[in-house]
Amino acid sequence: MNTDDLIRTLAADTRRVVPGAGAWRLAGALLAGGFVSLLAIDALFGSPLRAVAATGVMVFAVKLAYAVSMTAVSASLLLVAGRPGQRVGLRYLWLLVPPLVVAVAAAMEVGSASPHERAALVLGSTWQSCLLGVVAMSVPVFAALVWSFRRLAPTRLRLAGFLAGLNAGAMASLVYALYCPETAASFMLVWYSLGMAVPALAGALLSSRLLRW
Amino acid sequence: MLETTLKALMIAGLAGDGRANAALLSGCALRLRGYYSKRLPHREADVEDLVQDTLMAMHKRRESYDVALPFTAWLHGIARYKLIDFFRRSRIRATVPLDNAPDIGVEDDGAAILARLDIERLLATLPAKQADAIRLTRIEGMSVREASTHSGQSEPSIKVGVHRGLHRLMATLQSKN
Repeated sequence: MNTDDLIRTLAADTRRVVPGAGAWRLAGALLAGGFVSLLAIDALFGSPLRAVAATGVMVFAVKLAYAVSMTAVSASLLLVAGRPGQRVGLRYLWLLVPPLVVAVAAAMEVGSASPHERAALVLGSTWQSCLLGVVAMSVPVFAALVWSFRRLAPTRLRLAGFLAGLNAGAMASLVYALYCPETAASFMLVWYSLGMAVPALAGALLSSRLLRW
Repeated sequence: MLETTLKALMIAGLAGDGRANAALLSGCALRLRGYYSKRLPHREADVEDLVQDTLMAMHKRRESYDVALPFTAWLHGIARYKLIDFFRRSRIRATVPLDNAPDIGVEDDGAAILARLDIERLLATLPAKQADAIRLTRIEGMSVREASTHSGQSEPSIKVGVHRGLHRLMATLQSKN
């Protein structure tokens, strides 16, 4: 096809794009994927409120804050990665802030515990279901995010895949936190972060297949 | 076209103005042609393919433009991605014949390989016995007796197979044309 003809064909298909459409699409995918995960985990584990009642609202709020802040930071960086022409640079450092805050709390917790209690703080009683649950719940979110990228333009695929995986893992940990009976910051630092890291690495590895355009 | 013009056209295009979008795409085509031909000298066909590919990508992914940022930075990001993708693809394509070279043999050229592929595709449409008969006698160059011992078919069966098979291939080719 001749380039002028191509331009005419494309221009004939000029639809209105609402400002911020890319951001809305990404946010919609994140929420839709998270909702699917919520339905899935609800079918598996039953009512979410029992765990919250057992641990108390404060502990739940801390877990929720970690999950929400990681979701928010990774989502905003993911949007940047889907839009060419920006310098990101130091903004990636925001990803380290929530884990560092949790790490400080975990260090104080471990420091005040007697040596033989420390392993129990980190391992809790549900680390397997935590890791498995977060990774499994990240799958629908990741799929939805990959779909939303069909209208975005990631120019660094591995980075975009990493961030999409991280974002999916963070959203999954948010969903999982509703069911998590653990109370230790050390537990959260290790297993929630690992639950986010696994999908992030998977996303980076799959990026050249899933996100190429 | 300059950044300010292009950006204004892009914003009008995003609002649904088809004429602005056409002007934008033409302006971008010019820029992209310059960008790619500088990096791929004397490869006009590849350059034009890349220009078209990039225009389609930028049209499909208009949502990824952030109006707070310079338009040319966005365009350049997409153009650069497509260029890298082109290099990656053409490197993969270039290695294929080299990997197969020892099997093909020195005297074979591209046209012969393609012809051979065409024949194989046609033969695949025939019953196996007829296809074997033709392949052994007409392509491998065996005599009817050699083909018979090689394939386990009787000599008359080879002869009939060649005759009927060729007849059928002619009919197929004529119906295609």
